[in-house]
Amino acid sequence: MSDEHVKLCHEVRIQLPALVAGQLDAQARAEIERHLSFCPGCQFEWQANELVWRCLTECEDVDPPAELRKRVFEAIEEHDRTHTE
Amino acid sequence: MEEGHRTDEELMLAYQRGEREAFEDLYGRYAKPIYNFFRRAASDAGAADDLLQKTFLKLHVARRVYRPEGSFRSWIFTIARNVLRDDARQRSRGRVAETDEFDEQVSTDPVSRVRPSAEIGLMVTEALGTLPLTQREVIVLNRYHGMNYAEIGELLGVSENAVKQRAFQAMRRLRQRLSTGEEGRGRG
Repeated sequence: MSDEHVKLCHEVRIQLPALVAGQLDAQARAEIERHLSFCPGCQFEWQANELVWRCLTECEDVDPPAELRKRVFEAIEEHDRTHTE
Repeated sequence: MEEGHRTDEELMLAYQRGEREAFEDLYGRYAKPIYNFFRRAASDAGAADDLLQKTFLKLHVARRVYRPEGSFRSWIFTIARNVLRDDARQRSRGRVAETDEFDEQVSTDPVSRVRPSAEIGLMVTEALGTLPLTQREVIVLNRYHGMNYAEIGELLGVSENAVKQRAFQAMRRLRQRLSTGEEGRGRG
């Protein structure tokens, strides 16, 4: 593998998180996809990034505890009481 | 994000004029996203309750200086991020000097012990907890709050390219964590 190819692979791999996150414009995406079509090493890296990105979806939102609302509003009332001139 | 016909900015202006219900509406809209931001972005996910409370208290205090110049959403996330950084600084005080790696301690998320059925989710939560704050907030804001790199860069005060670099480093580290199955126990 030539030094130039290694350099290109490095540049492509830095862009892969942005690719899986949908953050690249059409031209950048097309360039990366063209490289992926003939570079198995970068293709492997892309799949790994895809997998991590999908795993992040498993970390679902939860509702804050119901009693927290009361705590927040009490803290605000307490603040106003202690900061009234 | 809309509730009734009033925008977030209109609600905040109403609260500024003394309308308490407007603040309750804003709490209804933002408590959950901000709470989940802290669950994922704080090195100790168990601190999310306190951090949420501090955020809304700061919002209350800042109501007098509020100007609807940018989006309310960016404003409240900026407040939340400042709360997070203050908390991280307090935790690191007396321990190690603050650097990008200052909060790389193991997550002790209590949620992980009470929700055994969501194993992957828990591994991810713990893996996120091991990232340096500067990387973690990029992933959390992008993946869970739908902000693009340009918006994140604006919020964090860094270039879009810097956000891209942080995302690269974060994804590489997450991949190591998730593939070794260490679930955040010890450094990989």
